[in-house]
Amino acid sequence: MIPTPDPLTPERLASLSRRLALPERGPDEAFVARIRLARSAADLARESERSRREQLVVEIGGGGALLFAAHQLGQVGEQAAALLAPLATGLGGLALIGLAAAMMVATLAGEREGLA
Amino acid sequence: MAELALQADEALAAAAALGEGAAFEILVRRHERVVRGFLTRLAGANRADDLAQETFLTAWTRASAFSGEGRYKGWLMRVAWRTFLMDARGRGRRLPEHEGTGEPLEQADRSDAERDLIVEDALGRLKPEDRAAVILCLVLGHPHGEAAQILEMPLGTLKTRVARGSAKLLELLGDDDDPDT
Repeated sequence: MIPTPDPLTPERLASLSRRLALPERGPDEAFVARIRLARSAADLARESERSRREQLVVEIGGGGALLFAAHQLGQVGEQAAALLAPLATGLGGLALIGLAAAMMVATLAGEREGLA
Repeated sequence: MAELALQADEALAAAAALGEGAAFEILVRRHERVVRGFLTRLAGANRADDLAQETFLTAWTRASAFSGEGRYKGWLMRVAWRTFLMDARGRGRRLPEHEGTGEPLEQADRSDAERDLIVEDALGRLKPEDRAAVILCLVLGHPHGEAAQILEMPLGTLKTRVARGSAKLLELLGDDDDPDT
């Protein structure tokens, strides 16, 4: 015959509860102090994490501003180049004509000196 | 400070949520015995204080998470239970769960310290959820409904775990609780 377990009567549970009970004592001030220290350290860590995050945001913002400025400068440069390119082409043409004319004058002058 | 000490847990918790360290310190002083006792019975004496420290730090940094519904003590115990579970999972294992022989543990002629070790050993043979249910209901006197909320399990499951854990402990420790006999 299989033995049936004893029922969980209130008396048996009360007896078990007494044996598992935590010892009575007053507050443990050493533990309270330990938590106070740990809390201060955690607060400091949190504060430094926050300021590190803020610094990161400032650095990212600064980097963004620099990129924007570089982009703007690039655009201005492109506009200036677009403005100057035809002028430079025109000037280049004029310079070539001037050079050719100067060479012709120099040649003619040389021939005249030779004849003289 | 003296005025603060007279306030109810919930008022102190609200002050702690606003960053008032003195209010939180009173809560620590009030509840450290129970939180450390719960964790000692749950995780063993070696881990209990570290887990209790983590529990109180979480309660401080997440003080605003206490909504004011239910008792602050219940909320704190739930934080302790989650801290214990996260620690056990972080270690990649559940707490020691011996198979046991089912034989009652020898208790005759033992000192208090030895009897404590026997109780700890017997508790270690239960599943963590059964152990927590027994400790909350039988040792710390939480009503079943509150214990079910703390352990985040249905009420019926909680009752089953308390009954199963108690039966197993009685089987292991025997019925006699008089140290002189």
